[in-house]
Amino acid sequence: MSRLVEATALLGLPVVTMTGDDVAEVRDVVYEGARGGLVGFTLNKRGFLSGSLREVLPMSEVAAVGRDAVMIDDERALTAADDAPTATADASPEQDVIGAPVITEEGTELGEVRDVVVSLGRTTKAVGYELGGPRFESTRGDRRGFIPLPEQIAISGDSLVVPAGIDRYLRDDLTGFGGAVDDFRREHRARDGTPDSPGSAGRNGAVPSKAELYEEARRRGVPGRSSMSKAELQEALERPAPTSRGER
Amino acid sequence: MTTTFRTTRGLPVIVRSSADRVGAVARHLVRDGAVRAVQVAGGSGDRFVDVSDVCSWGDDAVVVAGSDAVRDAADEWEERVGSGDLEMLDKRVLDDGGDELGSVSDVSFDTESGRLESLRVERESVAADRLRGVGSYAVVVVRLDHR
Repeated sequence: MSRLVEATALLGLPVVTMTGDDVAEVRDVVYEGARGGLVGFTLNKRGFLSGSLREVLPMSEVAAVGRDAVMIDDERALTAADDAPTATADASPEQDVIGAPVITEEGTELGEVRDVVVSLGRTTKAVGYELGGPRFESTRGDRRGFIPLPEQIAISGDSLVVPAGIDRYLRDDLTGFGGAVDDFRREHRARDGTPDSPGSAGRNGAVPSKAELYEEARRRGVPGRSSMSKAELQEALERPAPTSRGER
Repeated sequence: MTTTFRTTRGLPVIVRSSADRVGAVARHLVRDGAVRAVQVAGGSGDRFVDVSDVCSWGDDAVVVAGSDAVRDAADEWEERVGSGDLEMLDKRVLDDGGDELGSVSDVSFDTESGRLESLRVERESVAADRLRGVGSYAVVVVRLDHR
C-alpha cells in the first residue's frame, strides 16, 4: 500500500502547491535519528543553478509526498528557518546518520548506514535503513541490504544501536521490505506490550516498568536483554553484574 | 452543448454585427472549474472575450455580438493566463498525493455555462470535479482512492 523509497530519491523533487505552482525543490531530507522520524525538508529555489531557500518545510506542513512531487496546501507551508522546529532549521552534522556504523545490542557491527528508507503517502515516515560498506559486504557477500527501523533507537554521532536479531528482517531490496518492517514492528509491539505480571504497580509506582528495567539492563550490558520478558529482566538485574565485561 | 479546448483553439472570432474577424481563440481562461473567457490573439495585441458574450461556438468560428465584447485584460490573473503560464493543454497532471498522471491532452466544457466537464489525461478521462488547481507547474487533481 504505502510506497517505500530511499530518502535520497526525494532530493530534487519539486514542492508543489495544490493550486499547481512549484515553489521550491527538495535540497535535503532532515531526519532525526533519535526519534526515528522525518523532520522535514530543506529547500532550493526552483530552476537551474538557483541557490538555496532560507525557508524550510516542516513535515507537519506537508500534505503528501509522492513519486513526482512533494505536495503542500499553499506557499504558507514554507516556514522561515527561525520559526521552524529546531531540528528542521538546523540539520547539524551530528544528526547525520549516513555513514554511521550500525551495531547490534550484542555488539556486532552489521555495516554502515547508506540511506534512510521512507514510506510515502499522506504520512511520510522513516521505516528503515539501507546498510552497506566494507563490513556489510564482507559478512553478507552483498553490496547492500535493508533493515527495519526500531521505533526507539539509541543513536549518537558515532553509531547506532539496533536490537539483536534484527538481521532476521534484513532484505536485499525494497520489494518485500515493507512486509519485513510490518513483521518487525508487530513483533516488537507484541514483546513490549506483553501484559505485566498481575499486581504491577504501573509506571508511577515503586515497581519499575519494563522500559526502565530494559534501560538498566542496557546500562549494565546484560546479554540477551532484548528478548527477555519483564520478569526475566528483573531476575537478570538481581544477579550481580557480569565481571567479564567491565564498565568503562 | 459540449465542446473542447482543442476543437475551439485557433477558431476565428467573428463579430456578428460587422462580420469583422477580430482574431483567433488562443487560450481558455479557467477559474473555479469553468471557462470564464477566451483570449483572442491577433490584430492589435491580446484581447479577451467573456464566455457570456459568445453567441455561438460554431464548427468554423466563434461568433460574438458586437466589437465591444472584445476587451483588454481585466486583472493581473488574466494577464498571467495570457502569458500562457496557466495553460492547461499539455500541462503535466499531478494528483494531490504527488504522483504524476500524465499531461492534459484536451478539456471539454459546456458552451452555455463554461463549466468544465472532463479532462483528458493520456487515455483516461478525469471528471472535472476532481480538479483542484491549475498552476504554472501542474494541473492538480484529487486522487481517486483518496477517501
